[in-house]
Amino acid sequence: MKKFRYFANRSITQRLFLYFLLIALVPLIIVQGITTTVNERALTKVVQGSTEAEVGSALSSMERSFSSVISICDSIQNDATFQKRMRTNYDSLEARYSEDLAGDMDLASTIGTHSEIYGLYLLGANRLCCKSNTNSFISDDFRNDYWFSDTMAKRTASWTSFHEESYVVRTSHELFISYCCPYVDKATGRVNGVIVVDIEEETLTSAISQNMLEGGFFLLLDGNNEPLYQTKNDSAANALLPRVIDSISAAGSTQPDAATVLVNDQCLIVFQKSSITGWNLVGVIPMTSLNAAQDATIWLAVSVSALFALISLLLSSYLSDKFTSPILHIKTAMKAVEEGDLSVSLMPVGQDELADLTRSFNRMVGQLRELVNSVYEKQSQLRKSEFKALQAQINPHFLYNCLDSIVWLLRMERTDDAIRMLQNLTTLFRISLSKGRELIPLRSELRHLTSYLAIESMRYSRKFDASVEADESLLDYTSLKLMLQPLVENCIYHSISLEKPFIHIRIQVQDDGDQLLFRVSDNGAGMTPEELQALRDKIAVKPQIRDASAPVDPYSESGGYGLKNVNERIKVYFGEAYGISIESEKNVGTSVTIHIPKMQEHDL
Amino acid sequence: MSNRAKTIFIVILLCVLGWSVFRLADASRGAAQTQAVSSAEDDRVRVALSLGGDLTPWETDLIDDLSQSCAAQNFELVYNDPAEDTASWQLEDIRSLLEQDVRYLILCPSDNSMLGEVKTLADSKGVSIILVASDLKLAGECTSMIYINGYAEGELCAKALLNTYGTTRDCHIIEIYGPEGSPIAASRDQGFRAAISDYPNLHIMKTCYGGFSQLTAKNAIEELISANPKGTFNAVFACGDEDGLGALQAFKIAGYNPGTDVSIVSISGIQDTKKAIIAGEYTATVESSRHLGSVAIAIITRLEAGEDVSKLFAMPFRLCTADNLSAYEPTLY
Repeated sequence: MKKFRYFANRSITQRLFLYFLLIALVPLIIVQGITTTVNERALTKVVQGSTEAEVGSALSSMERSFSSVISICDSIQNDATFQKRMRTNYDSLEARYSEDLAGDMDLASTIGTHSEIYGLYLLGANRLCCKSNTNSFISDDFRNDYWFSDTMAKRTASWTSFHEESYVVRTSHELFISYCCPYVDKATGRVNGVIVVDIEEETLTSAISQNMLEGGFFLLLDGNNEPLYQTKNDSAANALLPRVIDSISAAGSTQPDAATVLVNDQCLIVFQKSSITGWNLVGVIPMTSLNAAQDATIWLAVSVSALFALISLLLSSYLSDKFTSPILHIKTAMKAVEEGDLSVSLMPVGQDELADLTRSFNRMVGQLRELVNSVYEKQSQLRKSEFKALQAQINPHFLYNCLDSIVWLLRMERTDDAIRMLQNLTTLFRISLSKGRELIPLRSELRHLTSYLAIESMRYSRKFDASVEADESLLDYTSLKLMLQPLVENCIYHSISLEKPFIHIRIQVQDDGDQLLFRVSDNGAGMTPEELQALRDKIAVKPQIRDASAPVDPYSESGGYGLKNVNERIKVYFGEAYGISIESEKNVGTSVTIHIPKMQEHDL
Repeated sequence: MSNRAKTIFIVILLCVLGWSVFRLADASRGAAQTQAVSSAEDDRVRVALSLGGDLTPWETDLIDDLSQSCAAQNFELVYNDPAEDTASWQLEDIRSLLEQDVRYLILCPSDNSMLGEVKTLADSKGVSIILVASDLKLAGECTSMIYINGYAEGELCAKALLNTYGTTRDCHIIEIYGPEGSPIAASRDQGFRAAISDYPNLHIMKTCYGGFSQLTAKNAIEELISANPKGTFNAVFACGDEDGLGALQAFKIAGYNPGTDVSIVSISGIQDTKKAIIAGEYTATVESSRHLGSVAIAIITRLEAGEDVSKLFAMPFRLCTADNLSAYEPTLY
């Protein structure tokens, strides 16, 4: 599990690299393993099969030569001229030499196109010496040579083993195999000479391919399993010989037309017996050679595997880097965004999923940038609105007028009124501050409003009166600070006219489902539809992005400023669904309605 | 995987790759390498022999003689049996022999025109040439020259015919010439022609190509016999015994009695010719340059000993006729 955790904790580049490497190497190793195993078995079969084919082919080629030799000997045996020559006792050297030379011509023509035969010699007990080639005889009397007397005595034909130089003529250091056949007088049945046929070793063994597995060799054994010839004569081959001969001897009689295969711990033996000579042609593959060939296969497989592994490693590295490079770029960009840099942007490459991801990232960063800008602007606007609201409350004119009124009350020795006015002013400013909070209980908002009304009623007692209607159950709901005072102030400053010198201001707070409804209405001068529309437009205008540090002059604003400010603050705090609506009729009055969500302090 | 780990992995794989390739090469070399190692070099003097033309009894005798003489001196003889009767084959043969670390080259050229190139090749390898030739002017092209006096051998053949036909009886000769470009055959021919030019009764009726080959000569003579009335020819001069034996066969097949109807003379002195002479079917042969191999190895032995050797060694020759060949000679070619 630790290993898996270790693997899971690796980076995506590292994991991809390892995945690629595993995908490339695991099948490669499995395939190479299987191939090597199969090859090892196949190699043994191929070597065995090819050796069988070589042995069969070489033996049949050799047997063709043997057959021709036997056939030629038969034809000489059955030739009347040769029979006469062999039967004749030559009384002079001249006569014998003359017959020799005539016999030479006849033997040469008998051989004809049998190029596999190096020399055909007819050697008589009467010292007749005929030959088919132009070589010189090594003697003019062979009767005492062992092969001659042996053949004469045994009266059977035999094949000699390979021997250097011909038994009969002078040669230049060549190897021969000879067929010695008794020449039988067809008249008497006596043996009166020997036919000798020389076949060059090169000619006979040319059919034996030298293209054997390194270390392997062919071996020709006579009927007694004595070695006649071997294609390799080094110490390794000679060391194997006794074991090979023992194995073949132990195998006993075999099918003459089919190869026999023997396997022991030292070598693979394939042999086939000649039906003409009884010789065995043997192909020997030492196990060391077979193992060396198998080793070569294995090491070839290992070389190829290592090469492929190297290529896989480099490709895996390249591909994992290539695939993860866009992800790493996104990761780096993400980190930059995380650190607050929203200016980053990536260039998508291609049309694949990673390019889509890059584009999505760019879109996300763009939206984030817009959101942050929006929030920033809203905050900026809010701060400005709050500042203006506060500034409105501490309007120097209002403060000056209040203080001036207090001074006059004191001069008129209306101390109690002065104190009451001062208390109301104090309450007004205390609630305005509210420890910096924007949302305050409705109770506080209404108290702030009543303090304001008390102050203004002292100043304008003959011009308006006011009533505040709010159910006790609503007083704990929260309200936006200083939300109602600008509305009442508008009534006082804009609804009193010559036609309406005294107005009644009615402030109502009502439960409207999940909302609170505030209505400030008066029966004052009212507005014409055009004035009402202009005021509505002014309130509805979205706040402009302005430099927060730019000075704001509240006195430059017309009468709608207070309403606009309240409307903006409501929308900032509660959303676009909430705000102010105004109804007014000229000379009838004006009614301003506010909707805000119904929330208690613990909901915040 | 870190770069360091990758590098280590690559190095390991390269090591595996290198080792496996090394083992692969090692396994492939296998037994061949073992065999190569087992053939030890020896420091014996290596003597090369280059022959042109087919392997005739004369050449077989030369090889035998050289082999025995080399063995006696603990020299090593290297040679290749002639595969083709061409100067280009012999040049290739010489090139291959000179690559075998030989110290001496015994050269029997099939064509004297190759000598310049052979000398250059031999000089570049520091090999001394023992030249077997019949042209005295070539003595400067070699370390030492074994001279075969082909001209005198040809003259001796003419003398044998003169002995048979005398100076009055007509002798209508077929001349069988040897291989094209063969300097020895050419000199024998020149000697024979020069010798008979003094005797008007000895004249060459026809010439034909034998090429030191029994079969070629036999076929050529058969053509001439069948193309001319019987009795047109009564003598044959052949540059080599093989050609003469081919002519002997052709005449016997055609019903002639060689030795009686036709006199055949040739040069070499091989066994069959001598048997034919004893059988009374052949007039004479000039036994040429016996024991040439022994002479060549004697020269090399003296050179190896640091002794001065003569630039020229002339080989002896003799005429063999029925008068001086009465029995088998074990030293016949």
